[in-house]
Amino acid sequence: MLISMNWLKRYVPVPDSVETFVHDLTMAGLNVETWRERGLRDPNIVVGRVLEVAKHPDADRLSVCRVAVSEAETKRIVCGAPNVAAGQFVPVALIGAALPNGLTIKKTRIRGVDSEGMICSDIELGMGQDAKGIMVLDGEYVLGTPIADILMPPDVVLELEVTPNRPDLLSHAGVARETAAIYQKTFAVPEATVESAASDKPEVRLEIESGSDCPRYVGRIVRGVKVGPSPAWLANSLEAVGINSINNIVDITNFVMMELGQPLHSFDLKKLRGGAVIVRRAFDGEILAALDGETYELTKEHLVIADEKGPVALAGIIGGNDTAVTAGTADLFLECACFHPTLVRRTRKALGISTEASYRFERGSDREICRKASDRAVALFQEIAGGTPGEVLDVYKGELEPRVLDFETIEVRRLLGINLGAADVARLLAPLGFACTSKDSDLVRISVPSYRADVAEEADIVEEIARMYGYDRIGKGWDYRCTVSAGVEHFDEFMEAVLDHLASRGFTETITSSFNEGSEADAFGWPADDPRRERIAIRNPLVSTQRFMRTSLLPGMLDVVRRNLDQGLKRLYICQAGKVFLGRPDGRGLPEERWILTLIMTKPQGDDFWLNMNKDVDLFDIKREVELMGRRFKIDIWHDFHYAFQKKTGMFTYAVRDRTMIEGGILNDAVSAKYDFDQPVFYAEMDLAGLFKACLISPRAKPLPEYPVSKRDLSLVVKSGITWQEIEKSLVKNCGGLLESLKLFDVYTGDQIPSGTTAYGIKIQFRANDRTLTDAEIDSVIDKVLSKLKNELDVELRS
Amino acid sequence: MDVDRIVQSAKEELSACTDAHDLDTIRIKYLGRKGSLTALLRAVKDLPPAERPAAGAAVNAAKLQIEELLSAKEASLGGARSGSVMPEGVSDPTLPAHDGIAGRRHILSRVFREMKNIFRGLGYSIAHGPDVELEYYNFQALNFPEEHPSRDLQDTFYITDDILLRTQTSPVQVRFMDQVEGLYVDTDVTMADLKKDVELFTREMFGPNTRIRFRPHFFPFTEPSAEADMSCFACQGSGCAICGHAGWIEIMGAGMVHPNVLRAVEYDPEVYSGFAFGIGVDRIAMLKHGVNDIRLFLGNDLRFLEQF
Ligand SMILES: [Zn+2]
Repeated sequence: MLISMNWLKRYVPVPDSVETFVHDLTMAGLNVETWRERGLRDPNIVVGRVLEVAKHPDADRLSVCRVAVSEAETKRIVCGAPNVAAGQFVPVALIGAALPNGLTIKKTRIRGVDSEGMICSDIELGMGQDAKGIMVLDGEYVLGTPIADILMPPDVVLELEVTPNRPDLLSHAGVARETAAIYQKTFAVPEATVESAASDKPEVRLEIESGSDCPRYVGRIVRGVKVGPSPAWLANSLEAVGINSINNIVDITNFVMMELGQPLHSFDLKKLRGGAVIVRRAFDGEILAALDGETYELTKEHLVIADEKGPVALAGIIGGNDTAVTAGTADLFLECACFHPTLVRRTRKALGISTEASYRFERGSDREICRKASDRAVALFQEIAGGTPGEVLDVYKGELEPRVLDFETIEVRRLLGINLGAADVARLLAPLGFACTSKDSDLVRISVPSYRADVAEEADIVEEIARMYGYDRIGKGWDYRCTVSAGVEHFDEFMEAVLDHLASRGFTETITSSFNEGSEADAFGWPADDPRRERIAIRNPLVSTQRFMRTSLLPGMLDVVRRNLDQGLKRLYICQAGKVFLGRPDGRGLPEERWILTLIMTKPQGDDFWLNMNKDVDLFDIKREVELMGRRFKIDIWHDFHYAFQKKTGMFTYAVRDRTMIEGGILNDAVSAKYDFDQPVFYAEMDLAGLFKACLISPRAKPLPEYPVSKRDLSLVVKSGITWQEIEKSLVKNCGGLLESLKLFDVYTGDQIPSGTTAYGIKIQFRANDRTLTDAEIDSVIDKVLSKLKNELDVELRS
Repeated sequence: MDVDRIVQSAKEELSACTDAHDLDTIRIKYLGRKGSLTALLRAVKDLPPAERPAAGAAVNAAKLQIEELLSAKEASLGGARSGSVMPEGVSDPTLPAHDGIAGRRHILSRVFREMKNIFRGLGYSIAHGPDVELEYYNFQALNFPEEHPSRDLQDTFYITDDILLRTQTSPVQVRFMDQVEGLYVDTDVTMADLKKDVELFTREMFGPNTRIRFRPHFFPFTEPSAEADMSCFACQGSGCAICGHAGWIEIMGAGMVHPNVLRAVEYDPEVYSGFAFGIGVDRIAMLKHGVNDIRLFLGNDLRFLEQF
């Protein structure tokens, strides 16, 4: 719905600031989708008068005109329009004027003749489609008057999103009413009372077949109108809201529709055959040639306006050609009616027509306004097109009972949480047209206006109150609960996700006591300065096996392993996240409480499954779980942490700088003996809080690659003593930025290669993000990689 | 001979077949354990020894022929595959695919998480508190007077004179760890808010018909203090073995934060009020999952853990 601010201002005061107005409308539920400025702002486009027209000496189609642009000043202007003539009042764009289309007028020389301005056409002024000639102004004007003052003052056009339940907002009057309510002002739409000629025998007989299909029909005869162009204000008003000016009669009905929301239609009275207007269902097969140039075949599902011979209009949608108002029309039959919304909707969908009229009728029009709208149109006819009002025929079969709701003000408290009394309710609702009377402060009798069919019960009233009170004021100053998430919340979620991941990897989570016996340090072989040796003792333990706070989750979990082995469960993959208490006091004398994650994997030899024979747990199983967990949480443990392996103990560590993040491997003999294990136990213990800091909690999306991948396989022969880590490091470094991924797919030792060497099969993928890589490019990378491998690590390409 | 007739009949049926699902029926009819060709093969051993080899060969040839016809038909009906579906050397698709062992979360963790999620939904955020605490915060700040018998309400483990293991607000369960404590402080927080949250929690945890009741109780750090019972989820309050025939089950301690506790953290009790509660995770887990021995939780016997 387009709303012209200039138009609206005729009925209600609005704020000077468009932004303020747009905000206030939006907050009251009238969502303003966009708004734009319209009109002529430049005072250098003025009224001029053509004094003289002479032929251009060198161009047949051009005229050289002398144009008065003020009482004292004339300009010479070259004009190409065929319709230019002496005596015309015309819009003149003076030198320096900026036209709405962006053109700035300069002094020019056209085929040897200087031109000091431009006489403008409709299109050049941004006012319509007529490009055939210059715009000729009707009437007489003071020369030099800015054209904006008479034609198109600067305006702002708002595009409102009107929800289907609010047809009353499909008009300037409706929006004016809301505006008045928002600002607690009054609004006024011109009302016309037209005296009707009394007549015993009206010229037209009006028949309404069904009061359900057509609850009300106001027909009116107007005689002796003069059809012609509309005055500028009228044409401009309609064009501002997207409706083309056609002639004064059609424009007036459109104007009243945009003013009051009530569609109207004028028939040429003389063309109605048999002096009858009948509102009825069409007969199957009837034909209507409509104003849009199309011919429609009708059925009994369609409601038509007919005369004695046949349909003359599709009720509420579009008029027919044969009865249309034309230049020669003198007498009108003006229709101002209410049609059943569903019927209009069904018909316009079936026939594929949509008009401003059908848009309003299918949302439900206000039948109470028909007479008023008819009078308003007739008054405008008289003013603009002349004519005498004749008989009025008002058939009102579907009169509605006034809707009255008894509203308990406690509903406001109940649904909105604000306390409003009856007086407040009346104050907020009255400007919207709800008449309120109250016996006491808790009960208001509310009479719902006819144009608010959407208000049916108390909750609807509460919504109106809320809109007018202000949604943003509801709950303001209230104390409501909000979650202030500290970093802990994220860590907690991370820990849950890690444990879920491990569960799906086959680990069963255990929970063990925070206390232990504290006798494990020597068996584990922890160095003398290992923080895990500094235990916190409980002064008053319940039992001596719970004398110390744990510094590692391992002892407790190994107890779990022992107990389960005793029960005959030999294959154990368990994990636990928990706090350890490291006895280095902080400033307050408290120990460090550190979150640790521990995995244990153990399986007896020969505990096979047919699909996975002879596969014992080994170092790579625990290393895989550690690195895989990193992958899952976006920590590249293998590349970002420093890996070290101790051959003697079979233990590895991953460290960041000097801090050990992960320790793992096989349980040493002393610990195994202490727990009396007769099967190898592998474990990994990780600094969970440290991993959390390293992981990407909320990764950003990256664009997917656009260019293809290039793949190469390499088979390298490696002498003993050279590790994969060294080879990989060299590969990564020398492949540079083009390396996408690298996979070791085969490790071979045997007769095919020299003894003491190992062959590594490697798949490498290259990709650039800005081009397709050429073979030559990759060859040169591979050459470089191989020569570096040869020089640095004595690695050969397998022949 | 019978063999030819059977092959002929199979041919006819196959050529009429338009649905891949019917192929199995045909296969069973001819080649199945009770199939007609199988019956014929069985009959071979009753023949005179001299006829047996020829008859056996004829039946086997017919069997091959029908198998080929079946696979040709199968291919022509579409949906066929060419890749191998089983590892090399394996032809039995009914072999087990897993060894019956799956990982899982500890039942206490699952209950703990459920509780956290409920309280998150009620607007709480999660905080982890320290387990080793200065005595001041555990006692004085919580309104336990010095040398007062209220300090004996719970077992307290001391590390030094000033440092101890944080004791629990919950009277239900004296154990280290696994306690959900709630705290809500603001202006206008009332006991009604507390009851609402406790009731919402129990309904979410134990079902929508759960009711709660508050019994006056004593904790130094809350005033008024209460123990909260919920209606027994097993008997709906009429009394059963689970609730000790009381109809009610004690689930937590709670109350309005004592003014002294607010003052200790420099909140003006004239302006602010709040409530606190403590719920044992193991208590809830026992009730919810019918665990009757609390030691099972920390025993970590996989035969127990794998039940959940
Ligand atoms: Zn019970």
